[in-house]
Amino acid sequence: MTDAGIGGDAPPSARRRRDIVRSVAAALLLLGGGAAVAVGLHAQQDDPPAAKEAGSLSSRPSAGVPSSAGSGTGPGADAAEPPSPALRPTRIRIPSIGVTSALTRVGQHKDGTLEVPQPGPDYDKAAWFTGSPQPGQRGPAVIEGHVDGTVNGPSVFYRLGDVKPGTKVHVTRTDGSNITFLVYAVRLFAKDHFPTFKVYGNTSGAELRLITCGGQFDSSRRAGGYLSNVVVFARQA
Amino acid sequence: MNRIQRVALAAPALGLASLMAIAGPAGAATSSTQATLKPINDANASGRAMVDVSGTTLTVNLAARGLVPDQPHAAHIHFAAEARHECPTASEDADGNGHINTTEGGAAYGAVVVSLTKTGDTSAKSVLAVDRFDTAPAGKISYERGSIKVSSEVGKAVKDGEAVVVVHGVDYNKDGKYSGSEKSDLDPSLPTEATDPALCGVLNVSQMSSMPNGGVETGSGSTSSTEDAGLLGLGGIAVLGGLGIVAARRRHLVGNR
Repeated sequence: MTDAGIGGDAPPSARRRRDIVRSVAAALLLLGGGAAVAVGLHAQQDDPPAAKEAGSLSSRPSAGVPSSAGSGTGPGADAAEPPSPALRPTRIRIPSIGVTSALTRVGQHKDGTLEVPQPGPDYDKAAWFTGSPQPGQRGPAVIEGHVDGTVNGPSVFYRLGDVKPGTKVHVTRTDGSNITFLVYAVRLFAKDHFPTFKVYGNTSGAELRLITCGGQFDSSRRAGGYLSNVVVFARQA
Repeated sequence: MNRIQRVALAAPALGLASLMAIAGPAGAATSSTQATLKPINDANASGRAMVDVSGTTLTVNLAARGLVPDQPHAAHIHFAAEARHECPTASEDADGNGHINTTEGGAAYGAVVVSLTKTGDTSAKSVLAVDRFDTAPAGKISYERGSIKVSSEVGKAVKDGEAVVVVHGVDYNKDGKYSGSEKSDLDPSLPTEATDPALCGVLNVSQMSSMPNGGVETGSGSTSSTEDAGLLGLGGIAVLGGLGIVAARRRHLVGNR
């Protein structure tokens, strides 16, 4: 070892000075580097929970009513209410994953895809698609939310993939009344093969679809990097 | 991905998103209808159809599985003002042969008003244009066709949930092709297997005032995989460097002892 050899020849005072310099350098690197790693790890956010697919999407739900019920009358009709402008949804709560959010509203882009909340005060709110039935009306009411933020960190539906069948979802409406939905299935669908009919198709009763992003992330993807959507299926309790 | 990279990527994406937001919702004139296709004549098949109506123009999406493979499957939209706007039931087997043929289903779903051909004419004239219908490779049909012109009466009927989608072609004798001595009620040169209905569904009005197209873009990826990779990387190198010096010092001291 050359260091040892040179050190052996140097006068004791020079060696001591060099030892001090090395000790200080080592301490600085360890402290500074350690702090950087600690800060980095502290800011680290786990990936969104991967949706564990569960529940049945059979066209014959437990209510015994086919989901293809007609356009007006039919066995599920009693469960749902006629539309009323006073009963727009204002708030959603999913206690099991700590979600409480005021509801903003979204429409569609020209290509028919759903809009999403834009950066600003509404970005981290869940949003009701105004072209879908009002929650509590017959049909699949659609509520979407971002999984993560514009720059960093989780958004309102970050933990949607943790939802399990049987989970309660509460929606408050403009008149203050509440509707409770029970989750019956959770699915991860590739955006490339999104089952439009399964998710947005007619239902015999009042149902709810909660949608966010999930699955693999590909930053080269043109619009939004997540390759899949987490979809939660619920029906009125 | 580090923060700077992420912000750099997010900015153009957000710009694009806001442009699209300004473009606003889809034209309100389009109505969506949908049908769950259920088997008739004991076909072991299933399917669904979605038809968007914009005035007198239809866009049709049809998916089915479990059909007789590699045989032409005539598929139509049926309607008649006097029909019941339903799929036929077993009780409509007028000739009592155990099957519902296309004519016997007429009281339920009416006449052919659109032929769902892959190319060319889509009118009732193409009702048995066998060479232009989907042949269901592996028993599956995945059909999409836009710009289908119809009369204003038919456009309105579809929009009102009064039209019925029927896919034809069954295999009673399970020989994998259209055969048998019984002739078609539509064309006596064909066996009845070629034209008897296999799937049927009423086009119900969508509960969505406008059907969304596909999934949603609800993520920036800011929590996906490793954040602050730069900080972690440099910090890690610094720690390794510090440890290296300490190790050298220890070796040095041991060597001097």
